[in-house]
Amino acid sequence: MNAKCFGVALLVALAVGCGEGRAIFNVDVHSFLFGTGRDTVPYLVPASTTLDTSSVQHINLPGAGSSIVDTVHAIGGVTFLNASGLGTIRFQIYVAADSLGTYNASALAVSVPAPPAGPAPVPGPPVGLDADFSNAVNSVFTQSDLWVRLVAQVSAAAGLPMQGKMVLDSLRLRIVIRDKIF
Amino acid sequence: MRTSVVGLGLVALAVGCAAPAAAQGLFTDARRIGMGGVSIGRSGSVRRFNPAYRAVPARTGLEAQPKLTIPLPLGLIQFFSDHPISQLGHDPTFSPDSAGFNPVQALDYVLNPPLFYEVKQAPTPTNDVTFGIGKNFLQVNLGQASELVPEDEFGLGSSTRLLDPGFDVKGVRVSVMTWLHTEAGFQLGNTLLAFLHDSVPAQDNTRYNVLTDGIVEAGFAPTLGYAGRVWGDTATGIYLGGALHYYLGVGYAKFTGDGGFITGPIIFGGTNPVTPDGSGLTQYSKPGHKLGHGVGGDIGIAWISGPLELGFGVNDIGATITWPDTRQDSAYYRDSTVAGTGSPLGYSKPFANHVETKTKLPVSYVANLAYTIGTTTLAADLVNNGRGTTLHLGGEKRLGLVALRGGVSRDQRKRLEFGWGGGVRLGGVSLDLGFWTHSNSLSNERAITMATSLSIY
Repeated sequence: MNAKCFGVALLVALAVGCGEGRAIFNVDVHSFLFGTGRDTVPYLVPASTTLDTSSVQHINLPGAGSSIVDTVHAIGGVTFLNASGLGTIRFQIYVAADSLGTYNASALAVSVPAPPAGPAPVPGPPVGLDADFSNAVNSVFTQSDLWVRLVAQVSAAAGLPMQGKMVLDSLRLRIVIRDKIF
Repeated sequence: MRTSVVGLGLVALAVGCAAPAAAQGLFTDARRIGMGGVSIGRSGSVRRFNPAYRAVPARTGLEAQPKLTIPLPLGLIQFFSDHPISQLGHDPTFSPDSAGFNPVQALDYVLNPPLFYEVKQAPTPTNDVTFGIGKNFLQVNLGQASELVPEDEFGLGSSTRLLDPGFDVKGVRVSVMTWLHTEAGFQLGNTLLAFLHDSVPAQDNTRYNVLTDGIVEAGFAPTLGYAGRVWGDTATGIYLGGALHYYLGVGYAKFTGDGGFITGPIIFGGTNPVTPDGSGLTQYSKPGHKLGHGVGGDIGIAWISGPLELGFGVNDIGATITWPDTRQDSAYYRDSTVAGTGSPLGYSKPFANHVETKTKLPVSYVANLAYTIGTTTLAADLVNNGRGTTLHLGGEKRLGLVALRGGVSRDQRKRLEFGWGGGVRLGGVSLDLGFWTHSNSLSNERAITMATSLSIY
């Protein structure tokens, strides 16, 4: 049984079990990345340049048929280990139904600024994430295939290139769905 | 799917309306409903299950039992007002592709056929359900709705006698009884029960399953019976009754199944979180095959002493039906690859044909007690129709032409239910009203049904 069918089966159980209640999916995204190396995004950005570096991960979800996603809320954190250079960094998450789609601007789910980065201290302070995803990406979460692209958007100041890595410490999504099974 | 849901509902309506009053779920007599389901006098469950009552003379006067009771199905009027029959096929409630589709309500109509008016609907649980998902983690928390996950076998069934035409000569009765036995049940396996009921996280490489079984069998039974007073007179006496049935089975079908799914080595590690599988055994003897046959009997005793009466009756004792020409098929389904990504392997093939099998009709019984003091009658009965025991306690107080009634019962879920009502009798006709709480719905709260019926004396 593929993930979508399994998800629909879960939602049928939900519908029988709780009538008009909502389905809430708490997805531990970090567990899908941990151990694969994709929870770390290394970057090397020339001076006076802005560049995105990223890692893409496929995540299986149960799938929710034609249900309607109310909200997607993300809670998590990243740590930037900036070894050299100065500049600013943003932590961004793109989501789409396929890996290529995560490179579209419309797939941007959330963007969080990090404190101005410098060569020290290493590591920098953890960057917390506690925000709703853009409504534009809600429909992706009803599908069984979810692709997540973690982006370190680095803008290096003049002088030295910025080099380091972004490490995802945790990322949990809370997806609230109104069930419409068929 | 739409057709099947509507069809299921209509079948439930038809079967539910035809179901005998002996069952806990549906009575057609507002008088009995008003007394919590108890049978007073010499009707209902008492006469159905105790053959001795055939010889007990009927009560007279205002205590007499009606010759005919006609239910006034206000619930059906309400149902067809809400769901016009011309649009039933496209009714949002029963159409899975509609946003208004409500499987809980559709199933509730099956469990509670809307013959009578629902004064208070059992509220449908509407709590949120939470799923926890990780790469190798899946947990479901149904909240309050988890209480509705059945821990024991959940099922529907009845053993009914639709018609019993025959003739009596001095207490001896020769008849041909038609019989119908239906049962359907399912039980969650331990792992699935813990997953749904107790929110235990799913384990990898683990099977989650549901056990199902069902049977439908029907036939007729030439019957030789006797009922008579063996001691005393009409005021005080002991009555015995018995019937010997030679059951002839026209056809039967039985299904036993075990279906579910197996989680992978890492639950969300691949494209298939689970691999479904199932197996089952069907056996049937179609109408036209050799008739099934078996012998069984009923016995009953009743003691009448003025205002007091006691009775006990048992049905279908030793009723094992032997079916000489049965076909058995095995069914099996599982993905053909270990990863569960290949073509599903499913087959049904004959296991054995023209073999002899046996089925058993459930033994049913009733014990009853009634006591009349002046214009007040109090009664109790204990009924087991093969799927659990129900206890009814109730009474009726007659005030001239008006009767007031009340009662209480313990249903098959071991919950207390309450009945109250009244009636007005004008000559040979009475109009009765009864209210009845029930917990058959997919809810832990009681609903209240209002029943109305017309009785002709």
